[in-house]
Amino acid sequence: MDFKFKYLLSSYLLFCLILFGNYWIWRALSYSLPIFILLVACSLLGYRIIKGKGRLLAFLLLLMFLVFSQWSSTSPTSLTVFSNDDIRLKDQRLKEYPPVYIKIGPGAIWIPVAHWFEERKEAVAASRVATNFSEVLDPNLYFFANHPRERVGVSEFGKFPYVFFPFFVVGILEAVGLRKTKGFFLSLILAILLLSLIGNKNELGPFVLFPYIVSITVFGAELLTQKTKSLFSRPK
Amino acid sequence: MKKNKYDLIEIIALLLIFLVGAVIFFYKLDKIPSGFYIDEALPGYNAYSILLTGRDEFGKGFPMFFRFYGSFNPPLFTYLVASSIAIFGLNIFAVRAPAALAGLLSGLVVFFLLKNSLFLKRRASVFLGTLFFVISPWIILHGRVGYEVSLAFLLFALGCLFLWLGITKPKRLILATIFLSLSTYAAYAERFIVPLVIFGFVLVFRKVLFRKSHLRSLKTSLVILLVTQIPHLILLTTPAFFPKANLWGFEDLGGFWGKLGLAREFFSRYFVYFSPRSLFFLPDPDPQRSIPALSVFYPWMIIPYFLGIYNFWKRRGEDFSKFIILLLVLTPIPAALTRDPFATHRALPALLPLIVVIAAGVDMAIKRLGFRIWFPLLVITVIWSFVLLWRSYFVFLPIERARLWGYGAGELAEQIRQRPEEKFLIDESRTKPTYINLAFFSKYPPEKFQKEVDQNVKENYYASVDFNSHYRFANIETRGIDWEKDIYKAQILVGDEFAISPQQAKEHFLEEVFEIKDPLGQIVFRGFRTNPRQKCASLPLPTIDCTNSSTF
Repeated sequence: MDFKFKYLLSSYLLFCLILFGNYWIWRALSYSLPIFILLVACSLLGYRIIKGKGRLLAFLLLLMFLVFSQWSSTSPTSLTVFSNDDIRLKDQRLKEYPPVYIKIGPGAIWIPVAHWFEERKEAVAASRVATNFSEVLDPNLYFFANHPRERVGVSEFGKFPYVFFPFFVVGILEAVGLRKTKGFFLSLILAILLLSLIGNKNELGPFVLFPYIVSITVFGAELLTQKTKSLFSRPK
Repeated sequence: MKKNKYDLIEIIALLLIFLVGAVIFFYKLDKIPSGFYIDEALPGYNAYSILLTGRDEFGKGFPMFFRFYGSFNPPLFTYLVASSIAIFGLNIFAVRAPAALAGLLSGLVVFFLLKNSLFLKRRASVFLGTLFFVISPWIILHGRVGYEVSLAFLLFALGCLFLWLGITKPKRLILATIFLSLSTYAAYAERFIVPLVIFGFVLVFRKVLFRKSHLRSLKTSLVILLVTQIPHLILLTTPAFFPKANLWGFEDLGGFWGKLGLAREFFSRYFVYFSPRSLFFLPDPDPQRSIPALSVFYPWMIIPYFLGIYNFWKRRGEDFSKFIILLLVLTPIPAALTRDPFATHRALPALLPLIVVIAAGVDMAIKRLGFRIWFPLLVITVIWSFVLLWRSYFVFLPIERARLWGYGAGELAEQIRQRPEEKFLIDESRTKPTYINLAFFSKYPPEKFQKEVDQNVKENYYASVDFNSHYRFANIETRGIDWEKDIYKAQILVGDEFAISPQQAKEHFLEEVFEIKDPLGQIVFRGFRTNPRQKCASLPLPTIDCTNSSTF
């Protein structure tokens, strides 16, 4: 019993250390108290789900509020409207394509590849969704303020101390294979897809992912702590 | 019988993959990238010089490092290009062909590594991994250029293959040592990666390697390593061994926080080589080292990449996992130590473990999905990859990056060839050195070139790292324009679009004689003929340059 209490205490101490030991959560507090509370609550529930104790439904409910906050606070950027520079590049590239056609007898079927790639709204939207997707997936965004590949026109800020990164990696690799985390990771994929659509031009960045990173990092830190303890406490 | 049938299918599949690879690596090799970069012209002309005279451009006989413009490149590629020039003559194809061949042959090494890994559960994964390697933009970009990184990759990959095989067959360790040691003479990055890999390998597999069965091969390997590294050991203390120390991109601010900042800087650059954004979506930030609108892998490969990492983590107790994780961890280190944010040419060795990870991810995917799902998916993704490659590499790159690839030097050499009686002064205030491109394209006799360069360089070959862009050979001089003197000499001044303004042309009576434009229609070089007679006549009092001018 005593051992269980100690274990729980150390687990939640670790949780608090990671939850509050980062710049992102305090930035969230200075930005909006409701978002701060949502992030704390969601992180706690997420952590409990990974540990096999939490209720997914409660987590998803809170997450929906968080998603709504993310949606409403993010400056919407069109997936299809061209900026002046986009138009310059598009016009230049339209001229670069060679004529593409299939010759059949005396005639030929022309394939408008240049138009498909450079002008069609679907292609432009796909490229922008891919850009948003790649930004959200970049670990350097969360642990190194996107250094050394900072984005143009975006004010990057540090979110988590980089020393948390190994815990995050171990945590995600271990947690992803657990049966009880299926719903948790499915919701993570949905959150990433949503961020790919709406982008993350926001004072707080893609903060909907905060609870996932915290709970996974805590899980990884716990595993590594246990591993280290067991290494040192091996009978001689 | 069944085995033979499968062997035949395997051979046909492999041949098909390499046929596709040969087309990708050799199609329009002399035209794409358009232009001829200085880093290609340097080994090209020096190889020509070695071939004809046994000496490099400075007259140094069979150097251990090629001084070039102070970069002291490892020599292997240049010597290989010499044999290629002997076969194909002095042209762009001859310089790029050894690199392209090395890139293509690396695919074979990847195939054998995957086949002998005993890690992949499906036979198809081995072929798919090889195919994905052969069509990966990373190896295509660096394989279709006339410099050393793809050759170094081939040797490094061979070394790694034999290291892996050496665990079960000790004699393979000797071959591993030979190839790994050779790779340190092929490219700069391998000089740092190879010691790390050897040390890491011995550490991780020490229980196997120090068995009685392996000890003899291990000892022989050590002797071979020491013997083959003698040239490096001799030159270890010379500036030629560390000419790129200025690429070190860290500033130690001192104290605990300074050290912490240093660690953060290093790790941020290190993890970029594993970042999905950098590997699958963003090209190398240096436009000369990247393909427009394409990263080093295709975007869809992100899925097998994640699956592969998970696969290796899950099976991390297996020897092959340990081996690949070791390579994954070590190969980006030298690149992360430099100041470039994502230097794909320095991190090329990381392509080997990364492609194995992607193959392991594909293996996991096809194990879970049925043939009816994975096969059509595969066909779509491969076709999609070819379309992306065609668009970015074969359509955009030769047009958008021509200038960065030294486009115009060949055309300039032609202009100079057409005017043998006139003197040319090439302005190098802003541009990269062009002397070597001009010597290459004009096929200037190396024995004459060696006599016309600074003779002190040869005397102090491995110690002098400074580069002086002032060259004078044939009717060509390369340096910055001296506007107080050069306008009083009868010659053609050549520069980029900003070197000579319309006001300067008008003021000094310069007559434009040619203009060289890149495929985007932007001016690369402009040539202006001086008119000393008219310039002097326009002066109220003739200057000393007017009276001294030999053209009067």
